Amino acid sequence: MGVRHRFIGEPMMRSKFSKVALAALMSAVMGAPVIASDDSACMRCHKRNGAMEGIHSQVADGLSCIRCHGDAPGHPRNKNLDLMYFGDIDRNEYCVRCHQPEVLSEADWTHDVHLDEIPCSSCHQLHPEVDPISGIGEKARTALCVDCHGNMSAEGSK
Amino acid sequence: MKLSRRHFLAGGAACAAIPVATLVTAEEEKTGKNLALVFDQTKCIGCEACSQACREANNVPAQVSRLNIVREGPYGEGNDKHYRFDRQSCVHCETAPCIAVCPTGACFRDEDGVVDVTANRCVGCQYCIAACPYRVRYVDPETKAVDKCDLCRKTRLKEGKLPACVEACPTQAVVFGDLNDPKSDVAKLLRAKQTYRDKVSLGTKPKLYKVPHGKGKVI
Repeated sequence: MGVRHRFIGEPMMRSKFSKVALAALMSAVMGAPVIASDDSACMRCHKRNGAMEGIHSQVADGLSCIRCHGDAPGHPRNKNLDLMYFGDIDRNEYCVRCHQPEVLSEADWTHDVHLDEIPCSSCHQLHPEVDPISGIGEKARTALCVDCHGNMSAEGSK
Repeated sequence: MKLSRRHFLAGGAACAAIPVATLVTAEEEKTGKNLALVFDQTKCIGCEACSQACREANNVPAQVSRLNIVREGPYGEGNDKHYRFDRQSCVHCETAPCIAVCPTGACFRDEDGVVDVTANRCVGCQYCIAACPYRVRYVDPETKAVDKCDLCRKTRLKEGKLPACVEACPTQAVVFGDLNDPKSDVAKLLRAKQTYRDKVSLGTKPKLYKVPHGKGKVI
């Protein structure tokens, strides 16, 4: 797992499991193998941040969890085996499968210069109902540029 | 010794030149500072923090602007894809056409080399807007007087701060200082880097120096 990039409005992901969640986890581990095509199996554990409320939930027949996050037969029994986590730069290629770079470029020029530099998830979130970056004002947008590039400039890169 | 006509005239010309030369240097010494900006195109990321800071610091109305960042591109393909950014704002000419054409003396250069407008002297004839080759002047919709970048002389400079654009830039792409002071940031940068200025051929002697974008351009 590479460097973890900060998300905008990121929900707390590492809170303690409640007893109920633990029970669900136990049953998932002990019982039948997780049927990955069924989101409810994932949602038994990933209650807090698993729900897909954004526009991607309406794509075609709705994107199942594994469509983006992949499937791993050992999950969650095998703790060393991660499903696909979108905080890494190499995950961008999965987004670009549908979101053509030319179209992204038309939507906002900054896509052109960041596509190979930072993960899409640094700015975008698909799970919440509204992507936090959509509709942010001109000033908030500039503040994001200044935040990263100011630090980079202080460290000596552009 | 016989003084030839040729020597006499040469000597007279030399004597006449001395006082003129002294006068010129005396005038230069009187003007203390000569404030200028250097805009580094290789550092600018096009975030427009400068133009937003300028608007805020100087209360620039939304319909007009003193400072624009002009984006060009994209150039290149794939990993090499990049944009060029240029700064459009008053260049504070040393021989400013706006000052020359102003019929009321509203346009002036202050003792630090900053070109500015006295709003209550401006009659709004807009000769200066027509004369400015850099197209950076506008009529303020509220005061109806012509206005433009004054390097924040009326707002931040007198508080001892840097111009808003200089302070807001996250990558230090804008450097401000006194050309007459060899130790100033501007003077040091001009010695270290190759720069250009826009429309020098017009004889305006602009003081917005630009470090050219490294990747070049086919015109």
